Amino acid sequence: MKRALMGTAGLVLGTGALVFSGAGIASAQTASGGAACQQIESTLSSIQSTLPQAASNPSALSSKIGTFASQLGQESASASPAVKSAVNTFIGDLKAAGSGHVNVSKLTSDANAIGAACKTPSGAPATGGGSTAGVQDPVLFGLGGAALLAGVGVIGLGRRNRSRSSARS
Amino acid sequence: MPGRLGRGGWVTGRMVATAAGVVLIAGGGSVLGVAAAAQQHAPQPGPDQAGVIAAPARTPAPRSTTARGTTARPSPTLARSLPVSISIPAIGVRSRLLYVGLNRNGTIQVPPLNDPPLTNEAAWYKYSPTPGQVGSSIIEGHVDSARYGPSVFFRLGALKPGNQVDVTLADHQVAVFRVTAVRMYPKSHFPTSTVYGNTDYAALRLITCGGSFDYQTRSYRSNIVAFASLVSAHPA
Repeated sequence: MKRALMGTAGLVLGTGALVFSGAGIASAQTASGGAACQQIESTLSSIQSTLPQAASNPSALSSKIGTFASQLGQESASASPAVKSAVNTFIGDLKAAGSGHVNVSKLTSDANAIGAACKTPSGAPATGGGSTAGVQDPVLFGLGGAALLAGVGVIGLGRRNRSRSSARS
Repeated sequence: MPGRLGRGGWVTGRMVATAAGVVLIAGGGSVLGVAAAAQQHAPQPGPDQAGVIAAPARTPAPRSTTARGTTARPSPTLARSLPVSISIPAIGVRSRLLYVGLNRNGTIQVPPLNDPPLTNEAAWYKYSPTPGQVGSSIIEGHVDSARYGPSVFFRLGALKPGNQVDVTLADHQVAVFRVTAVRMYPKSHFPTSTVYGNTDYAALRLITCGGSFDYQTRSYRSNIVAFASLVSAHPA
């Protein structure tokens, strides 16, 4: 009876892993949403490949789920709040799977949520190079200003000389 | 007038100097005028452009009915179809669309800054809904480049609520959006959920840079975001 239950759990968990990996994480792979998401994606791939094999051994399964949960928690530490939240939900449901309560659709939905969160940009884009910021054409301004000052200086000098000369005569 | 004729050379010299001074002043003034006229600064959105970000649950039927006889109907949506080009008549934008993804730091990639054919093109964030689908479709463009002056979204900050944005899709439909708000946000407090978050209607977000420029980081300190919602569609 126990063996049958474990076999069923393993099959369901294996199917679940395949389902959630196929649905949510495949899209996260292409999204490459930051370093944290890439690590999470890698761990989820490991979960997919490892857990079905460990499903026949309850203690190994539990240990592996614990390890993966811890790993996912660390990897999501530097991720955006949305990714963190999605990963925490996934971890909760993954732990439930370890105790035999497998909810395939929930795991699939969790993985989809991680994929979606990973695809949400985390900040503002850098859409400018600055060529129209501040004063443009400083050389032109410099030349114009210098010519203007020189002109004022030349005329001023001429007037000063003239008034000195008038005073002498 | 004794000696004046004798001082003819001095008088001539004085006249030449005065003439040179006048020429220098006129020339310098002209150069300054040209330099001032050549200044180009991207328009920044004001309070009158703040509008409303969320589209009403029901929007008036466009064009097909008169202003007095508008009838309410559900916000329209379109099937998924990749965007091909964007046109914003109010600010003279017409561009084909590049597709961009995410950088490793989680921000949206941008077109290259120093590759003029591409620098001046807008880009659609390829993991957002296609324009016309329910959700926030993201299109961005540079305000300017590092070396080549104004770029495709230089005048985005001049958009006003009510302006029209046309996005041509691969299925030969033109998704017609209406701007509802234009706002500027500091990069340090960029409201990602407001801009990128999901919506229950077909939304479009147009993003570029704005505000002052930080010469140390070589980046603008703010972003301008135009919020729009789908009002109709027609064949291209």
